[in-house]
Amino acid sequence: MDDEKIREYFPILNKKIKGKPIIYLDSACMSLKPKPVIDAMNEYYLEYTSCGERSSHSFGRKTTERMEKTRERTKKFFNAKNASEIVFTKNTTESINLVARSLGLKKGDKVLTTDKEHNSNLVPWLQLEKIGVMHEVVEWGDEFNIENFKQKVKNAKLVSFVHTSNLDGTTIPAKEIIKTAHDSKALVMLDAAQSAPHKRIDVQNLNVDFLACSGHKMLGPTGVGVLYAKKNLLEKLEPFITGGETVQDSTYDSVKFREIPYRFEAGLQNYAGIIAFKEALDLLDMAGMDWIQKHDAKLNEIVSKELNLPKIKLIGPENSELRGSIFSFNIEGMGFHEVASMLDETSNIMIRSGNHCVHSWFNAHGMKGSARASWYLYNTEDEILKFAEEVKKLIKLV
Amino acid sequence: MICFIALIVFGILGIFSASYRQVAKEAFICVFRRATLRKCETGLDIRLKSKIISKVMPRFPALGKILYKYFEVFSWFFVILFFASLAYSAYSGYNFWKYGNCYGPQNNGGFCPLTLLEGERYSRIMSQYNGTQTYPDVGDAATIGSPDSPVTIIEFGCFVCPNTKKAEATVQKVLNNYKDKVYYAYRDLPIETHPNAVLASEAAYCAKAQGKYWEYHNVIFENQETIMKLDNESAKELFISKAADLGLDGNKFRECLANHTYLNQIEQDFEDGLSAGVTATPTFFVNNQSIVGCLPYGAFEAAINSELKKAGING
Repeated sequence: MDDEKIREYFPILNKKIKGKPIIYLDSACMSLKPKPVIDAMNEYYLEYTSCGERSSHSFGRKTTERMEKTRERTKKFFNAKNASEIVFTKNTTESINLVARSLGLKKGDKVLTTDKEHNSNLVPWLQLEKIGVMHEVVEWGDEFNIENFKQKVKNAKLVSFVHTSNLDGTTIPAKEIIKTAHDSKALVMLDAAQSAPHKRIDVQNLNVDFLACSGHKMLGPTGVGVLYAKKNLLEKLEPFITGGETVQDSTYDSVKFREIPYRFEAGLQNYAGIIAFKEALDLLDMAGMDWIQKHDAKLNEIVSKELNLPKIKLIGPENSELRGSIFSFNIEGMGFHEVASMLDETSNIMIRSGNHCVHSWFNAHGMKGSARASWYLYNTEDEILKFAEEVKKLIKLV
Repeated sequence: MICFIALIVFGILGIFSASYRQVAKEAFICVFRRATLRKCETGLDIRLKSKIISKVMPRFPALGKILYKYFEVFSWFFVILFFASLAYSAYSGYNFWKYGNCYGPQNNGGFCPLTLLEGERYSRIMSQYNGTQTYPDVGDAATIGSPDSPVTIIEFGCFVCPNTKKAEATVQKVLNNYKDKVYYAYRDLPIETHPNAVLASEAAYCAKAQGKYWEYHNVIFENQETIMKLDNESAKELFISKAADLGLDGNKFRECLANHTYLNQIEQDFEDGLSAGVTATPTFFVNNQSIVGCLPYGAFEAAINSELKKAGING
């Protein structure tokens, strides 16, 4: 795949601020949007704005049809068995909350998470502690210790792990973990918010029970999330948010819910976003997930080599191959917010700073946060070199 | 510390634009936290620091480095400078209100930008004088008070000058407050471009000849706007009728005006004014201190008190 050809899909990359081009390195938070995605959203609003699933006029039929095409496309993207295993949500957070609230966890049930969880895969479980659900943390570190996990997973009801960390870009050995968990009769949910945009995920091959991800990190519009769940499990889940379109029939004192996945998609949906999400998946497949993964690794290798300096304190393993598309770091003597702010002001380089919603990890490690550069298929080697060059200039200040 | 300045600047800008109000709010939170010995958490200080350093760094890397390292010191310096200029501005504002200049009773004649806000406080004369400056005396002018008073105030005014009229209230206040200490004289300096100015001065002298100068002086100022609008003949008739109203002899008054009896005296006043360095009306000489324009009472108070002090008298 050609970098330049990919970049043509992203009109925002032509934008200049104060006469200088932008370098967007915050894709772990939000990916940029390709033109086909924007066009598809515009098309919905300009050509056939309507309610899906419920209106039988031509606009309504078209909305339903296009939405189901996205569901089919998502199924194919993750190699799910059935399209009915794909539930559209608002984002990863909602997908995880749906499972947390619907799985029927009760007092004494044990849930495992890693020590690098985003708040979205930590707080829902902390909330369930109020009803007696036990939450335990498995230490991950730079390399996942499967033996340690084998001990911890005993008697666990659910293993809810982040697939790829948004903190340092490292990825857990998901297949091995899932097998181990299943051997202990525990279900497994993967928070794939960071992994789904960057690597091929085959849910059947992984044999994962639940998988949550966000469209906005995968070139898709904001407000579109996905929950994949095995059909037999999804059928057992209690609807989390109920109301319009989740119901087949109701009386004043009873309700009969629709079939899966619709019973989990309450209220009017983000039709424009969901429809446009298909275009994002098409583009990802066109680029090739393997190519994206290699591209990510190549850029990480470059930046890791360039910034292998005494003043740079890297978060995560030294081996850049393990850190995917994320370079999380601190400059000794300079605040992480200052780093991000100065890069933005001097060179339009946009990175994230703070604790990246992983407060728990930073608190446990006595750190306040970090600066984080994260890239995607549209970033180039030149951009990464420019980023490294500007970071080196900042180092000279301290 | 940079947040202190941001609070003032964005607080003022926030009055006019909602987009600045959020920044002002951030600055306020930041200042409040710093004042309570906590760290600013809004990130505004970092954003401002980055913005400033990023402007300096590309052109002057060494300066950028110094600025980065000692940003807090620089911030303190500018905050102190900011508050010092704020205090100095307030002091100047007070002086302007009280003395009509930015520098207080010891006005050094320096530029005072506040005067630009208020417009001119005097009317300039057209004539110029290139000879040696001599301080004026009372001459044959109408006076109030005793010539033995420790302070003599000589006013050079024009009856048709709005600023001379404005200064009248201050002159009255001065005369009331320094009754026995001030000897006051009004001399004529009719501005060439003011209509009927010379005629008004002549009329005042004619009234003086009949012993009712100060009453007539006040009547002229009361009718200043009308006088300015009239042609010479109509103005003359107005002056005669106002003289009659005061019980003066109308025929004598008419004759006095027709013969320009006091024109030479008025020209002498004008010449004396020019040679004293007068360039605008009203100009006051408090002994040898000059006050130009219709300045606040405080300016007169300061000048008179300093003259009284010289004479060993408490104001």
